[in-house]
Amino acid sequence: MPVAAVNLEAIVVFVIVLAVTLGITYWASKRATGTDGFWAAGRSITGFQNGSAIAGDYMSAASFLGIAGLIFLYGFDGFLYSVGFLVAFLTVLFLLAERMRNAGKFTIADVLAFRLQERPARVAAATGTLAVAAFYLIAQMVGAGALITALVGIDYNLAILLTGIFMLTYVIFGGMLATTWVQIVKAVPAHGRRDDHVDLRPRTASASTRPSCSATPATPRPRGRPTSSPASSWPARSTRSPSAWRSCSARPACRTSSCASSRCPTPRPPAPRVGLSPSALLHPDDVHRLRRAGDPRRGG
Amino acid sequence: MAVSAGSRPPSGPGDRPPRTGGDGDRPIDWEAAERSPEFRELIAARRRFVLPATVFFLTWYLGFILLCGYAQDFMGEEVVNGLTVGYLLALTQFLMVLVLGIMYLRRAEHTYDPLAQRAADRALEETR
Repeated sequence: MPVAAVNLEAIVVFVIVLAVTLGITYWASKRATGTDGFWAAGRSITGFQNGSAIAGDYMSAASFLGIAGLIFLYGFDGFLYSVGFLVAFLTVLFLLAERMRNAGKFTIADVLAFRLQERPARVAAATGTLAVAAFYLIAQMVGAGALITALVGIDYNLAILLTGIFMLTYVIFGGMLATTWVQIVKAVPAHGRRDDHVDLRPRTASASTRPSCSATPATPRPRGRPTSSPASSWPARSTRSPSAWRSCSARPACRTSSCASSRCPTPRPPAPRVGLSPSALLHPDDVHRLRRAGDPRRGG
Repeated sequence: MAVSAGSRPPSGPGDRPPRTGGDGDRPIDWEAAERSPEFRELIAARRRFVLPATVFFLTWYLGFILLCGYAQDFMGEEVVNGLTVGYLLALTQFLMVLVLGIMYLRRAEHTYDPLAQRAADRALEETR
């Protein structure tokens, strides 16, 4: 790997990016409390934010270097990869996403363990996850290392080491909140200047029926319900019915960050919610959808 | 709270997910909820769209891939100035994802979520 001469300008930009992302991580680490806060950013990420984060996710070394390189080397055959990546989103959208969310689980392994025998399901899911993540990360880190080496001029091995350290820092300390916002920050320059990119309010008519956060300040716990029941630990859900939750303050989502702003968290957090543990009374078909049925009950 | 490295997320006392299907005193009757007409309607409504849409996009995509592999002459035919059939079909894939995605989101917003809410409300009523 050729090492370029040390480029001061690139280093300054690099350091600025690092400072911003580490700042986000520090900010997020103070908010990422508890399972829900760590794994699902306290259900506070809105649809637009998550979309931006996913966009940032895909503006990765694999896309910029990998796909561009494949198209350069193989032409149309390389282009097929980007088509495949995109179409794969439909599989996730139609068959997986809503079920994952309704099951209220954090990971694929959680869902499998919920429906099947826990130990073998978790072993299989962990094996699959680690295999995919390993190959994906190797490609990403090779790309990142090559890029940093070319731009900043530091040693390739050092570049890879630094990349890994910073990746771990974002995830371990900031959880989902930090990783999401780091990706959003990454995506926004690629969007170009967008003044409206923070306007995350749902624009549909049904938005008006949702309980408003602004009217009632966030309370640490839902009020007026027995604290002995596990209801208080029940995480945010995307209720559409104001009757299910008397006010927004009763929604555990409001315990977390975004009620400080004048907006409710969007009622459709794409991340799955914390759910129930396996129960004996499960119908094999689509019962995970009934997690939602259990939800308001805890609330009311 | 800074979270230390570890495989398990931190769980505070109020953070543990409940252990049973119900909220402790009155467990939800999942089988009854599964049989409820509201829930059946939700499943049927979802399947009406998701099943044909999945079949369509898989067919369209796999057909495209197969054409790329086995009909190279056809895919290499020029439509206009350097734009081949292959690239044109690839662009229809992007269009397909956009259209199907928007269709699903609209249905989720206007149909599936209200239905899911009704099914949930019904399940609660039955438990009470």
